[in-house]
Amino acid sequence: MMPSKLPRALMSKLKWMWICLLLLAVPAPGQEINLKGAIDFHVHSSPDSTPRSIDADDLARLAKQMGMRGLVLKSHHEDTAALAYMVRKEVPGIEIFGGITMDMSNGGINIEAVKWMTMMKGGLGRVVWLPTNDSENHVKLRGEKGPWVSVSKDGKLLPGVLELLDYIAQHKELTLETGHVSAAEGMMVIHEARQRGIAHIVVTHANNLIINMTIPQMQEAAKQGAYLELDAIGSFAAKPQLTIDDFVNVIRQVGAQHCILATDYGSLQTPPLPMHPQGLLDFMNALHAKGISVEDLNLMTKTNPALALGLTP
Amino acid sequence: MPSRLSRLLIRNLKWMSISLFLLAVPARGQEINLKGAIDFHVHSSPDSTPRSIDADDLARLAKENGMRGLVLKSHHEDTAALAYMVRKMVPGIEIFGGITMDLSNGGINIEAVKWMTMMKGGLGRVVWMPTFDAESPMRKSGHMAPFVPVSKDGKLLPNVLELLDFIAQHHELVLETGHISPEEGLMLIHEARQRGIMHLVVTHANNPLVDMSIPQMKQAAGEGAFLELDANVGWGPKPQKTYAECADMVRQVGAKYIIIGTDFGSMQTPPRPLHPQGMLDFMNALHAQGISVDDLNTMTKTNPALALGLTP
Repeated sequence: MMPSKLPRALMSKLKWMWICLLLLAVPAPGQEINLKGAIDFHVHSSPDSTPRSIDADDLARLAKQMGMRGLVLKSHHEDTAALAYMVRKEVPGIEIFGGITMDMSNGGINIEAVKWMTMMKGGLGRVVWLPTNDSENHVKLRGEKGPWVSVSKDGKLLPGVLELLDYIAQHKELTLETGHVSAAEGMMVIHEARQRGIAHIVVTHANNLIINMTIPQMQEAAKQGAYLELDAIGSFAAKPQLTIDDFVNVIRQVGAQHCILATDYGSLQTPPLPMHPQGLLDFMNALHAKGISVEDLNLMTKTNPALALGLTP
Repeated sequence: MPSRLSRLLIRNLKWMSISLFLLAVPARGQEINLKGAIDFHVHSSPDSTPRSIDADDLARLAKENGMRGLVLKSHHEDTAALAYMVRKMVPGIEIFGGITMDLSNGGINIEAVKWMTMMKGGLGRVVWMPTFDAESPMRKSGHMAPFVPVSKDGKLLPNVLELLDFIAQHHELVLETGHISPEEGLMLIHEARQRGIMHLVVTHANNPLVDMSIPQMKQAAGEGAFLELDANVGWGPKPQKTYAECADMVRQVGAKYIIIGTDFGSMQTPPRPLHPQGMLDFMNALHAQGISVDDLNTMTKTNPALALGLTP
């Protein structure tokens, strides 16, 4: 039996529809914004000494479900290398890393603390943050009188800091982050770190107002081989400090190949922030809406975080 | 009507049950077991030195053995977050953590203790004075390295006194002496009591690292401190202290002042049993030296609970 006229017409049209759909679909996989392979370099979660929005193991499960590759767990007060080990054991299949801040609860600038962290079972203690909440820069910004942990005096890095840099230089698995030291201190740290052979350097939330690096400073930091971390919390917090345009401007002027996108989520805010994976996705979409290409987004959420941790992207 | 046989059986069963009951009453009290025991000195991984078992696997094992709890100790890291994770992974056993005042934690460091008390779960409950980086064992062995001093010229240092004041304000905390010398330990206990610290433990008082004399132990007990005696010390073919010596300490100081822990978890040749078995072996060894089951229960169940501020 011959098909009737109507289905025949439909079928011939369908053929073209399929061809059009196929043409649309081919470039789509490369252009789709997703979290597959992404690493959030700045994650706050519990257990921690301040209330957090989610436990690290539950967050690991969520991030894994959303296709993420990994998380870097950060506590201002505690070494997270053992926690990273336990979370990996509980939630296999996602790369969880830990680290330590050089804040007062860890003894300030403390090579012993870093040394023992590198020996933690699993070898997952990979990041050393210079002082964060206890940094001289941040304590003074809060208008407090101290105590604080200094990293420089009269425009020079302190000897304890230089010794720490030498120690980190001998441990190629470690990533040095600038924490909450001032932009000017960060520039000195990056320069000295490079001189001493430190392979992996990240400027912690470079455009956060605590740091407030200028574009020329960021360009110089990038030139010296440091990654600039840009965190979603800057413009998604209840009281945003920055606009998405501010971030777009940084990415355009510094170059996506030097930037890492992260969240810095995990604090309890009103209204509550989404969980970290959704936060990272929202950030990517917002940047894309302002013209940042999917290729650049992938570079900043997938390739660069992996490189900064010494992983194969 | 029941048959004659079943009637006979029922009548005998009654007597059998009564006999069994009579036998069981003293037996339950006299049996050496781990039901309700807390090991106050546990090394496990993840840690910065290799350990014989992961904390969560040990928690499972201890729970299967009927134990009530474990105190996780690392020489280099605060274990409060680890305790939280282990409790989440293995519900039904009371896991606690703590922090040593060693160099990796900044030495005598109130900030570190303060943040530990705020860790989610509130399970950071023990503050050990310097252990790995204590001055006294280094002076004894002659292998000097950077250390954390706690006293000078027979007096506790000001920052140690400040730390004691901080701990005194946190009644959930237990102060342990770590590896400081017996003389320093006694000064510490005295000052701690004066300042109102409730829970005091002399860390492995029978270990050569500390090596308290019996009169010193009695003095510490007299000031309200518990003396921890660890199984590790008596274990193996060449023990640091024999079981007879450990039993003598129990008799002379009094079981009501003593806590039995293991200090197991290090990698040794020949390998040691895991902690629950180590605890049970130590209890059996002391029992063989004449220590009663009542006293063993006091030292493994009641006292560790009291030292942690728990209801025994």
